[in-house]
Amino acid sequence: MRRFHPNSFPLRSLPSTKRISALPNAPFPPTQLIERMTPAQTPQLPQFSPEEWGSIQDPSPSALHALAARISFLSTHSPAAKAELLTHALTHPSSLSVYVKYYPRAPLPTSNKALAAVGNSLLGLFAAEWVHASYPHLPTRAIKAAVSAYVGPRTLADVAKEWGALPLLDGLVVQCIGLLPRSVIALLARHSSLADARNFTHTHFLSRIVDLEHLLNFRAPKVVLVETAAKFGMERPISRLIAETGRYSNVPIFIVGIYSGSEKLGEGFGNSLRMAEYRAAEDSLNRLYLTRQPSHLVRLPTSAFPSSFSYPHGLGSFSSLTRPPAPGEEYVAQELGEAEVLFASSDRSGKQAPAADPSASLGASVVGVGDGIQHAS
Amino acid sequence: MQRLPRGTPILRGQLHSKPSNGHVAFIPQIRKLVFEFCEAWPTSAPLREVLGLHAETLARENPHVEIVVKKRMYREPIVRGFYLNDRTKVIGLKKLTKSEVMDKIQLLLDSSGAKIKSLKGQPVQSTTPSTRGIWSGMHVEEPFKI
Repeated sequence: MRRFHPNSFPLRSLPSTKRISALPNAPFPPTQLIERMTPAQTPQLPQFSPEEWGSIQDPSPSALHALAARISFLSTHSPAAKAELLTHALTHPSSLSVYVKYYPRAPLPTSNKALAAVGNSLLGLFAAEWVHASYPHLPTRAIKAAVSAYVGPRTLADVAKEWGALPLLDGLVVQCIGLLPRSVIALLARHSSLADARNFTHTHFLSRIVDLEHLLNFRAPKVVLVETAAKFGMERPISRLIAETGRYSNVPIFIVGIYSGSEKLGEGFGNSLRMAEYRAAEDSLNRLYLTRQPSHLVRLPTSAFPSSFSYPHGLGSFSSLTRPPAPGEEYVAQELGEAEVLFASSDRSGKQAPAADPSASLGASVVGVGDGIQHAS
Repeated sequence: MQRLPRGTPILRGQLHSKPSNGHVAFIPQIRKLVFEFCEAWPTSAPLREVLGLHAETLARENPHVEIVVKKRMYREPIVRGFYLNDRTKVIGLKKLTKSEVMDKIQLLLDSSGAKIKSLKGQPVQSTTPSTRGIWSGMHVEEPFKI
């Protein structure tokens, strides 16, 4: 019969740099397993694996306290309460089946699945409202992509790693690691306030770097620019040559600016007039769509929500959502940006109507691109 | 994010953001400090004294660091720093005085854990575009004529 004795497991062969304080505080091996070890039951016993058993142990309190301090998690709560909440946030659903295997009679711990679902919705809400308020003219699909970039699964996994939570989440795949930041947001909203959860999101997620320009990809920037200018009620854009050198050499450079009336919309360079004009149109569109609201003018709709979602009187207290705010705290909605110009979107072929020929789009009377550029006087 | 060729589909699951630690929140890069000392040997005496006097203060002043004290009998004393980039730094504390031990602890606390490399010949690279823009020979009074 196989006896489970501490010395029979090669604990010393574990890498000493990894699990120094992750050593479980529960008795090893589990007493419940030893109690059941009568010869008749031996065949039904699970194959004992120290790694698997170690993975379902509570993380060491010191590691949890350090993690809580690193991310300033619920600073008003007691250390023990924070450690308990973080343990909840770190319990992945996949660990429950292992737990049942080793502790069949113990009550099951709660997994972070429900927390993560709430946290994911909150993260999406906070990110979407912030992106929309900060970049009022950003097209819808770019907003969706930006939200994914700010609070998507890859970012969440990266953030969990940068918090130093990976040693506590040993052996989980990327998708599972992302459940921790989501659960943390949900815990903040539940145990602190919605405003705290929002601040946390802004601090740890929305302050990261995302290249939004990369998300805008115009198939025919010149066509889009003409239509966008019309939509905004501006004069028809005209491209003008600002500077050039080496027109008849093999290394020509042209600088083209696009103007609407006297207003300069954008500028581009290129070794042909056509390329310079294309880049200038793209630059103009980027300048418009990536226009950023100054951060002190950004107004977020969730700031009008009540600070906590505890309903002492049941659902009836939804009236608190419509309660008139205190004087000086009235929420004034931000002005909405113009929706993007949609074209060639009626069918999915991506082909444009024949009338919208990009080469004939700019300038008042244009035949070819080279002719379309009016030289600066 | 690397600039993709035109027409490359942008896949939602692959979108991610780059870290900017210190921009709003700053997360110190040290995660854990492990002190290993011998109870018998005199080479560990300064470390034992430092731990006896200052271990609690150290833990209180650095709540983001998990501090572990471990016996390592009949070996020289060391301090191990664990960092968020999955690297460790180990410093031997044999025959160091108390103040030297404190300095080594501070060194580990302040370190980023990154591999030490020469600062010579490494150009400074910015992650953001310059506010003044790049000088352009085409935007001067009279561009160069070929």
